[in-house]
Amino acid sequence: MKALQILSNIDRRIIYLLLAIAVITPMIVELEMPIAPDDYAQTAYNSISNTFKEPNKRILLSFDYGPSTEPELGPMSFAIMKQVLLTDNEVHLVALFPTGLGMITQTIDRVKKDSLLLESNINLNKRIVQLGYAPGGEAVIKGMLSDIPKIFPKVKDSIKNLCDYDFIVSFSAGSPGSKEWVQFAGDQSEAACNGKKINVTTGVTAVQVTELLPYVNNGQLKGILAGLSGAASYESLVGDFGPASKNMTPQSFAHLLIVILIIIGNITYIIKRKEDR
Amino acid sequence: MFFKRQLPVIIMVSIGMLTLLAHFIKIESIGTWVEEDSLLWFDIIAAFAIFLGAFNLLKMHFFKIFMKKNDFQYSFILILGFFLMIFSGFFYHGTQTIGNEVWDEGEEFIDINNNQTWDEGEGFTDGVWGDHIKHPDSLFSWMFNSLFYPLDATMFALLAFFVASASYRAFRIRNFEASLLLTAGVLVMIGAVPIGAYIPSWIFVFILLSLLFAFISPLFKSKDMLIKSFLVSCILLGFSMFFWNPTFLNSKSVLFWIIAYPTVAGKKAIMIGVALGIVATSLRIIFGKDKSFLGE
Repeated sequence: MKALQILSNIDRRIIYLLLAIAVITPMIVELEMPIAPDDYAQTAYNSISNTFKEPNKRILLSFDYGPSTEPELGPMSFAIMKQVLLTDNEVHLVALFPTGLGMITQTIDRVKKDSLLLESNINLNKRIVQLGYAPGGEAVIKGMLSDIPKIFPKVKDSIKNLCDYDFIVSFSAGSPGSKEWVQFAGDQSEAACNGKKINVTTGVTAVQVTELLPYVNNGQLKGILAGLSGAASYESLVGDFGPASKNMTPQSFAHLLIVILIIIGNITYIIKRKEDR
Repeated sequence: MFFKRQLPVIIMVSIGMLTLLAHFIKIESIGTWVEEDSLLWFDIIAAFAIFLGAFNLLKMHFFKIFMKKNDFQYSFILILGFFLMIFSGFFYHGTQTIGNEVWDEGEEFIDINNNQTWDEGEGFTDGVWGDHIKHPDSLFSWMFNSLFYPLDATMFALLAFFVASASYRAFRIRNFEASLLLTAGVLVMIGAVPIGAYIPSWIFVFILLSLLFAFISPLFKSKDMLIKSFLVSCILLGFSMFFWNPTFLNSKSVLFWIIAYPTVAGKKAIMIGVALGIVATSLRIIFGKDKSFLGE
C-alpha cells in the first residue's frame, strides 16, 4: 500500500532528476543506436540530390529559427548545406527570424571546419552567399519573388529574383517559415517564373509537423525533415553521423522514461479508482 | 473625432478594396503597387511598429519600477539588457577588426590565386557600418553567443522537465477519448525514437486488437463475455502468427500512419475552418463592419 501511495504521487523533483539522468547517462556512455531514415526525409533527400547532381546551381536556405530550436534544426541545415556544397553548387542564406543571423554564422563556421569540405578544395567563400535578415515575413518572400536587390541591396548582380534559384529549403521554428515559403514562393513560382517550378522542402521542429503534412501529401513540399529524428534521418542519408544522430539516444531514453511514468501513473490510478469504489 | 475614427476607416477600406480588386482587375499600375510598393509600405509600418512596441515595453517596466510592483527587480535586468543590446548593435563594435585597414578573419577578400586564404596584395572589404553584427569577435556577437543563446536554449530545454512531470500527472485513462489520446501519444513517442525499433511487431498487433475491443465493447452486454472474447481473440491471433509475420507493423509505420491520416484529417479540418474564419473577418474589416483595429 505504501508503494502504491509513493508511486501515485511521485514528487516532481524526482521526475526532473530521473529525466536528467535519462538524458545525461547516454551522453556520457556514448551509446549509439541505429537510425532508419523515414520516408519523408528520403523524399527530401532524393529531391535535393537529383536537383544538385550537376554543379553551378543555386539553393536558397532560409534560417527561420533561433537558439531554442537549434539542436533540432541546426544539424539538418548543416547536412543539407554540406551536401549541396560538395557537388560544387552555390548556397545562399537568408533569415526571416532576427535570431536566424546568428544561426547562419554558426552553420557557416561548422561548414568551414568540415574535413570533407576542406579536402574538396571548393572555394567556400565564393560558394556561400549571405543575403542577411529582412523583417516582414511573407512580405519579404513576396518581394524576393519579384525583386531581390530591392530587399537585399548587397546581393550579387546575377540574382534578380527567386526564379534564379533551383531549390528552397526553410528551416522553420514557427511563423514566418515553411508555410509562408510554400504559399508565397513555391506555389507562386510557376506563374512568376514563366513556368519554372521552384521546389520547396522544409526542416521543422517536431511540433510543427502535423501543420505541414497536408502540404507534403499534396506535393507542395518535397518531403519534410521532422524534428530531431528527421535531422538524424538526413544525416544517415548523407552518411554523416552528426549531432542529431548522437542526440537521438538521449531522446530515446527520455521518451522511454516518460512512457514508463505514464504507465505507472495509470496503473496507480486504476488501482485507486477500484479501491474508492 | 474625424481623424481618430473616420479617417483610419477610410484609409483601411480604400487600401483593402484596392488590394482585393487588384487580383481581379488587370491594371498594371495597381498590380505593381500591390505586388511591390505595398510590401515596402508594410516594411515601413512594421519598422514603426517595432518602435511602438519597444516604447511600450519600456513604459511598462519603468512604471513597474517606479511603482515598486511585484518582482520589479527583474525589470532592471530587462531594461539593462535592452539598452546594452542597442548599444552593442548600433554604437559600439567591440572589435578592432573593422575599419583598421588590415584584413581580418571573416572579412571578404578577392582570392586572386584561389587558395582560399588572404595573401599580401589581395584586395579586401574592410567592413562597413553594421558588419560587426556578423563578426565573431564583436560585442554584439559575444552577447548573442554567450548570453542570449544559452538563455534561450535553457528556457526551451526546461520544457522537457515540465512535459515529463505533466504527462505523469495528466495522461489518465479516464474515458474512451482520453485512452485513445494516451495510446496515440505513447505510440508517437515510441515511434519517433530509435529505441522503438527494438519493439517486436506482435506487440503492435495486440495493441491494435485491444483498441478494436475498446471500440466494440459497448456491443457486449456482459463484461465476462467481453473478457472471454478478448482472450480467445488473443490466443487465436497469437497462434495465427506462426503462419504470418506482421513485420509491416512496427513503431515507425504506426507513427507515420497516425500522423499521416488521422492527424492530417483533423488538421485539414481545422485549417479549412480557420481559412473560412479569416475570409469572413477580412471581409468584415475591408467593408468597415469590424472596427476592432481601432480598439473598439
